[in-house]
Amino acid sequence: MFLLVCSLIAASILPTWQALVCFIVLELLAALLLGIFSEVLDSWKTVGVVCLSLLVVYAWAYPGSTDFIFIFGVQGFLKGLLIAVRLLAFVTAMYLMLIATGPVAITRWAGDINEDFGIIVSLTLGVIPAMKQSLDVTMQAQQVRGLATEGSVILKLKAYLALIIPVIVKSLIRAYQMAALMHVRGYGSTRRIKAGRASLSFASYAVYGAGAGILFTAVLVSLAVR
Amino acid sequence: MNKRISLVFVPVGIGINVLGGMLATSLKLPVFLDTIGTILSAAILGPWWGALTGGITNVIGSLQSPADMWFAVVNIVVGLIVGFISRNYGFKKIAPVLFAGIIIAIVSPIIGTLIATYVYGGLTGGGIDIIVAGLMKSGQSVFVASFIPRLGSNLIDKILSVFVVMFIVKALPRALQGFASGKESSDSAAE
Repeated sequence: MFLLVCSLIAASILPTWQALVCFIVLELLAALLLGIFSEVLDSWKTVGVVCLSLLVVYAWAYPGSTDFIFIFGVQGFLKGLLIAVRLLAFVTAMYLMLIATGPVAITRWAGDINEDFGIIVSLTLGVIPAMKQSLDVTMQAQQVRGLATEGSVILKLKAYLALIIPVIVKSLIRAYQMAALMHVRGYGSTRRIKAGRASLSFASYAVYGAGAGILFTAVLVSLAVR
Repeated sequence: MNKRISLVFVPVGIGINVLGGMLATSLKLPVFLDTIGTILSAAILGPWWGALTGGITNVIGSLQSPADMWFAVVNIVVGLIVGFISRNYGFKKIAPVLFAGIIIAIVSPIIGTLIATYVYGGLTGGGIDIIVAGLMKSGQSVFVASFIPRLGSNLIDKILSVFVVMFIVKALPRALQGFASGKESSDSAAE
């Protein structure tokens, strides 16, 4: 998570598209080493349309363009390229972390920061699939009763409310039961045994070092360009 | 509100945000409706829990769309604004609810546009990009070009969301209404 935060800050402050391309190459090398290269490359599909739109729209419509090739401005194209490459750097960093780190590790990390935060994260990862299932059941039940989900916006809005409100009410009732269960399991008790924190390994120190290195290099590059 | 209940309400609020957004997309509604959980948590539990709900929602949402993590700031601010209004005026009467809706409908697109301009260059990859491109071509700055189309959809989205939450809060038992039941009711309940 520390490495991710450092990578995101680095991608935000790197000022040129060339520096960002170098950063993406580094990220892809890390993905290659971790054996998740193709999965990370697949993630680019999610922002592919936006990146292409950025290049075309900025080249065509960017107000600061002074040099033109046909109807496309050079300055606008370069501006669009910078934003598109930055977006790719963000997405690559996020997917690198998400694919390399499982939900259990994320929950453990949250619990290490703050016990209550860990509880919220682990409950969230459990609650969302349960609510999704509840929504499916409600949708089937309402459709059997004749709920129309096609047609005008008003009709769709009515369908939205008819589907979401029962799910919210059921979820709040379940939340109340979960709160009671937490009490039964000893939440807030001073006699509860808490799990000890694991000590930092060599790999953890290496990751902290890499994160700090990335951030330091990005700051240096940013200052050098200015 | 009991801390145990707050701890379990936050994940439910996050779930409502995620499912609300998914349902609005699957029904092809022209509004997002993905902040109902944040508004509900903030109205009942107060600004800090509301902000936490909003923040974690976007972090969880970024599992599907990583660049959306930056919009956590918008969701956090929505939680804070609704939470402070609910803590002072409650969330069961039309006036404070409408006030909260209008404030977040204006503040959200301002912050959202600032983030969208930096991360996405003002574009989203959707049909709205045509309007943004047209406004940019007419000489508007990138910020103004991407702010104008967002303002309209946010006004409808946020005002609709706060009223949905108001009706949900009214339907809840008084013990679960928290700050939303109003300052005087909360004070008397605490006594």
